[in-house]
Amino acid sequence: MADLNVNLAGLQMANPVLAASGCFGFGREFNDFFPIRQVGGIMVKGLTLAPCAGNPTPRIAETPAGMLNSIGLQNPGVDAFLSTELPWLVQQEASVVANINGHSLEDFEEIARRLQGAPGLKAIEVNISCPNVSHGGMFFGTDPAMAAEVTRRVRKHTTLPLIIKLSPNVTDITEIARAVVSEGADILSLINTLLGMVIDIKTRKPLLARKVGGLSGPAVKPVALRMVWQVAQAVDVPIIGMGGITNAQDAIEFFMAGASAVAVGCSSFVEPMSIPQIIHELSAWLDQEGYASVRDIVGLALE
Amino acid sequence: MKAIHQASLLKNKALAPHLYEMELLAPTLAAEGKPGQFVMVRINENRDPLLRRPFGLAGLDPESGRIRLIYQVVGRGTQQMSQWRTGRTVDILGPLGKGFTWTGESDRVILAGGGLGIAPLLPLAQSLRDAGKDVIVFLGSRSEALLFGIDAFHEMGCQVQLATEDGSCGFKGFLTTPLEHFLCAQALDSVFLKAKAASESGQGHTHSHTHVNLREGLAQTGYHQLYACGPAPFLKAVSAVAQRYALPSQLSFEERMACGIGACMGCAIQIKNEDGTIKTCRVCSDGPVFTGEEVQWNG
Ligand SMILES: Cc1cc2nc3c(=O)[nH]c(=O)nc-3n(C[C@H](O)[C@H](O)[C@H](O)COP(=O)(O)OP(=O)(O)OC[C@H]3O[C@@H](n4cnc5c(N)ncnc54)[C@H](O)[C@@H]3O)c2cc1C
Ligand SMILES: Cc1cc2nc3c(=O)[nH]c(=O)nc-3n(C[C@H](O)[C@H](O)[C@H](O)COP(=O)(O)O)c2cc1C
Ligand code: FES
Repeated sequence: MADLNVNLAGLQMANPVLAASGCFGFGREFNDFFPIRQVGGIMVKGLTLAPCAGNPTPRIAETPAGMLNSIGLQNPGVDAFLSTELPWLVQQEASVVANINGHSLEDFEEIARRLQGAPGLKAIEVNISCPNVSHGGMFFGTDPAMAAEVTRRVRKHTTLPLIIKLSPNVTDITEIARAVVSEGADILSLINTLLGMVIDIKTRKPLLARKVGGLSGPAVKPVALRMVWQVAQAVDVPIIGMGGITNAQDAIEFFMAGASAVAVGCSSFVEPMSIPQIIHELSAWLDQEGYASVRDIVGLALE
Repeated sequence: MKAIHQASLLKNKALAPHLYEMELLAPTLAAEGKPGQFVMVRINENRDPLLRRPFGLAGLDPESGRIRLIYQVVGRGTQQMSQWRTGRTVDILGPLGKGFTWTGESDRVILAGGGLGIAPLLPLAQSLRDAGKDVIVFLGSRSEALLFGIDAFHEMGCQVQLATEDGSCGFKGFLTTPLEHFLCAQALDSVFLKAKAASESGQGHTHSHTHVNLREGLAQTGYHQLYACGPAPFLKAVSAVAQRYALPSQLSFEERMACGIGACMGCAIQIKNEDGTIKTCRVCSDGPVFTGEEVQWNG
């Protein structure tokens, strides 16, 4: 049996397949299908300082081999996460990563401060790439100076492995990657969703209530893979690759492009067992190809 | 328990142009599903179209292990479904959501279905009849061709009233008109009978037929609950009528869904707490049935 253990800058996981933020809730719904401790790491739904009600509906629009969402970070807030969700997750022996979101630099700092020392929390993922909120969100992730500043501020308040989640809605993603690594990002995760839209020709209006939303699913995989491949060559920190992964073959492509771990997003909506299935298929493929560890295939497609 | 079922397709037949009835062999689902719950149907293996499609359970037969779905062809997914041949295996996730609820009393209930919203009322009517209730069903659609289930409701022993927008069958116009007529007539009748009884026993004072009296009147007729399913504007109109007669309602909602299990937050609905504050609920896992009293209508 191939070794699936990975250690990304101190983020130790029993396997390299994570659940992407916003696509696994706080794990409860999936625990009805399989024991969620099987997931390498659960990146919980994006947290904000105060509870957040999210955007009006429709929030979901299907697109060719993909979907748009404009959830708008509906979540119970960081305090409810700490008092209810995290203890439950830890009780399930899940490996938990907090995905944090701010409307301001101070928000990010305050959330990081409240999470510091939370029992069982494995890492913090800073979402500087949410396309679905008007204030903050993606704005922090599309300007290198701003992205660096958010990283610097959060870094001050956390001793946990710090993951910065990058937006694909930029001209040169390596520029942002370098900027955040220079301010202390331990790990990079990419990609968040690509800004898109759907128009309902019956109503002659955008289908989503918020007009635009974030594209994910198989449709974005080539873009995500290219960006992982570029970033892997630009910086020297581990990468969590995501975007359109639905099976082990997709995941293997990301490892070969330079990702040390992968995250599965909206595939879990279609097939709740996606993550355990991918872990299983990945392990079988490594055995079949004669690799002793998943670490042996990381970056094989790089020069 | 919600789970993924590999169901065998037994029947996939057109009831009318663009309207299909599907029967599937899924014994666990047939045994565990409840009226008002729904399933998410996987369209194909290759993830295009990506998402599963939600459909209300339109028939549950635990004895034969069969479930029934009734669907309209409106887009890519339902178009593909309409091409499926019997014998095929269909990947379904369910049963999902919380269904309708009812009491053990043998009282009288009203059902109102608009368009495809008729589908989940079929197993509901059966369960209500099995519970010994008197059931009257109001069915509405754009035209006669899109109405279905009328015979089935009759066979169960329900009264049926119809409305079509084009007048091709039953009342011409929206279903809320015959519904309101019915409620009003029932309430008036009971107010009248009460007044008559009072005057005959000599202690009578004349009743003025105020709205309050009508509201009380309906409660005395034994009608304690209305169930409705259909598009949001339909539910809003039906619930407004029900509230005028202080008739509690249970409404089954539709919303665009990605996961159907409560994980993505795609299917939000605004619900009033008891203290008047608003919370955001999920149609898929907190619903799809909510009471007319608790829903915060937008727009
Ligand atoms: C709880 C619930 C129960 C339902 N029960 C029934 C039923 O019994 N019979 C029936 O015919 N239809 C029912 N619907 C509506 C049905 O899900 C849609 O008509 C169907 O998903 C359309 O798929 P499509 O690929 O043909 O259309 P497309 O327009 O190509 O679909 C694109 C996307 O939009 C979604 N979508 C489109 N219309 C709706 C809608 N009205 N509600 C929710 N999502 C929609 C699809 O699921 C898909 O994700 C129900 C919906 C919900 C939420
Ligand atoms: C419904 C939905 C909600 C999401 N919510 C978040 C979020 O709260 N925080 C975040 O960083 N990313 C969020 N994402 C982005 C995903 O984590 C992921 O980056 C993206 O979907 C690409 O992966 P996929 O193609 O496998 O879905 C969300 C995606 C979807 C589809
Ligand atoms: S459809 Fe995902 S939460 Fe309801």
